[in-house]
Amino acid sequence: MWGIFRFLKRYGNFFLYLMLLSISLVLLAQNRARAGYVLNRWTFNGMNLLAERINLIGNYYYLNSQNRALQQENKRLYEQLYNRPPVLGVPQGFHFVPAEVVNKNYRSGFDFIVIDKGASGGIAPDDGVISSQGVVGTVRALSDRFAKVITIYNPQFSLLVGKPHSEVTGFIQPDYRIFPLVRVTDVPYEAVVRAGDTLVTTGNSLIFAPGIPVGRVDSIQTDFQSRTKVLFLRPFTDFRRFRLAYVIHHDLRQALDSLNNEP
Amino acid sequence: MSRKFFILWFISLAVHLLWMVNVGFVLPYIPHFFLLPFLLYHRPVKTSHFLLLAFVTGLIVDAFSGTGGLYAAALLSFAALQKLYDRWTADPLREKIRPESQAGLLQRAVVFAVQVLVFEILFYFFDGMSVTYVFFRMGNVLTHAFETWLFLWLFTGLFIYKPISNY
Repeated sequence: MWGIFRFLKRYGNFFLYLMLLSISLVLLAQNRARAGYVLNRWTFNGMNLLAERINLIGNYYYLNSQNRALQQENKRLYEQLYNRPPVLGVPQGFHFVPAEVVNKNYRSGFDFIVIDKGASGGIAPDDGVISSQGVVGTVRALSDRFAKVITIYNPQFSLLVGKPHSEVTGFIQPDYRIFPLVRVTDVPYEAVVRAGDTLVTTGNSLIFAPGIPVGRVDSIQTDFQSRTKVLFLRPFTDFRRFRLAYVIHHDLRQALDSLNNEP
Repeated sequence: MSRKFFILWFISLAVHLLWMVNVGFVLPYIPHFFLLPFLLYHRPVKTSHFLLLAFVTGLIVDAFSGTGGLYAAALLSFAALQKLYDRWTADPLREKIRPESQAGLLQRAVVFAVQVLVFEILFYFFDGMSVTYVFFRMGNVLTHAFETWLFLWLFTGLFIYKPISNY
């Protein structure tokens, strides 16, 4: 209360000036057409600016629902895009489940994230997780409502990636010591790869749909003994910022896995 | 509030209104006589009183000339500027500032002219409600300012008033 009094005492003259000026301007606007016109225009513009600012504040609170709507739309579009007939002989049936990140741990050597969709959301262990930028990781453990996802930097993560429209493939082998890059090994010695090339998923194990961007080649080393190339890949996903993810689930993957695990 | 201020305020306002009603447009413009106390006595009068008095003076002139709140807005803004100028130039130690009452004749004339010009610019700004309008009517602004300055200077000489400082 005393603060208000102090404020009024300090800026009282300014408010007095503003009040008296408004009175005189109102009188002026009533008396003179030009002044009335200009003041009306000022008021109109001022009110519109104010309304715009208020709208901005309102929009901020609507962002959450807008995000959800966009996620649903993205899910629909992803499913259309990655279930086109026939994609590299990969069977159709990819489902995209939108999810939100609730916890993150990266750059530690055992990088993982937790998402707010679990078994009840229709996802299974080893499902792929992507963001709108590219590959994020795979689901490792599940509860009813949450899932733990190991990211592309986790040493337990492995994925076959390839260069689009070519036969060049390699395995991602994360190494936290070269963060934010990951290593891609077993690339054939003869393969034509340049720094700046984009690598995408191949869709072989039905964990990820084929053609999802993974990252850009940062640099290349040649291993002359094993006659292979080692690529250093910079993943597209910005782990500091991303909040919304999509879990990719394929109906036939478990059947394929059981066949693969057959001795 | 100083009694001198009130006397000067009353006389200058009366002269302005009498000129406006009885003499009219003998000259291209009616000199703004009511400006005089606000030019000379801006230092000793309290800010809130000064602003209120400027507003009331403006309203009285408006009522006689039928201009809505034109004079009130212009005079109020001028009074606020005067007080702002005082605040900027005030030295807390009050040692180094040379009182205006000790200033030379030429110096006072220049300060007077600048003050009158500022008022006229404000007046024309509120008349057209735009800065462009002031530039467009710059000839009128300067002529009006010169006329007001001349008559106020004579008026001041008549009453032998000097700018008053509060120290």
